[in-house]
Amino acid sequence: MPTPAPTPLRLRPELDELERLTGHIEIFAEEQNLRAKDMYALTLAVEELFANTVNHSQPPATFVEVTMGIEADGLVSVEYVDDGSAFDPTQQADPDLTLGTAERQIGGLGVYFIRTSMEDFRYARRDGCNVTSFRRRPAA
Amino acid sequence: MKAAIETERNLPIITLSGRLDTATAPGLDAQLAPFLAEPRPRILMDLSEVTYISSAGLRSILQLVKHTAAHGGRLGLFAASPHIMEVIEISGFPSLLDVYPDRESALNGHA
Repeated sequence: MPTPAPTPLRLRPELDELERLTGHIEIFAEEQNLRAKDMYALTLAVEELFANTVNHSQPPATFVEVTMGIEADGLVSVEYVDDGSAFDPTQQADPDLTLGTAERQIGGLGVYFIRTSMEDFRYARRDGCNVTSFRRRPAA
Repeated sequence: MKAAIETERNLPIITLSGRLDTATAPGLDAQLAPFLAEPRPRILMDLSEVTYISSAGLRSILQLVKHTAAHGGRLGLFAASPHIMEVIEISGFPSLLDVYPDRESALNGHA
């Protein structure tokens, strides 16, 4: 069976684009017959990267491009590109999950989700862009 | 993200509906701000209608965790779907709040 060509989605780096992004992932998940668990994990991972771009890029990014596909080994691949300031999510420290209520923070949790749910989490800086990728093994 | 606040057996219950993500969490925080202007040591949250939560949503919940703790109490959640519970568990939140399966057990739970 031929592998479908990945479909890139280009977005403005603004919060009101999140709905379009999640809708795109939903359509992809339906086309590929992915389980709800996989769609949820993929949406979460991509949202975390998008939120980082929108909230933290200084200078701001001017675009985000997300490409999803199925690779020959059956894993879902995601490539996330933005032209914002250099930011390597793979180097973010895990949050301290043992902290008590007063000390606990959210920072690092989004990237931690990606690490716990995805494989091959990679980053490269290319042509002034952050290129982040990861892969998801679909649930049985 | 809609938040409805009611009181049952003298306990405030916040019912959330829809997605709690980066785009909707700020709106929820704004909706809850007047409610949190009063000390609320015990708050219950009904998550049965929440379809999705990301770290942005957890940040909103963490604010409620900190508020209740600062007033000598604790936040309780109930009726979260398995997907939502998985996110809550991965984040390590269960040690910071009470998790109940349903409204009745939440209302009967201890602060």
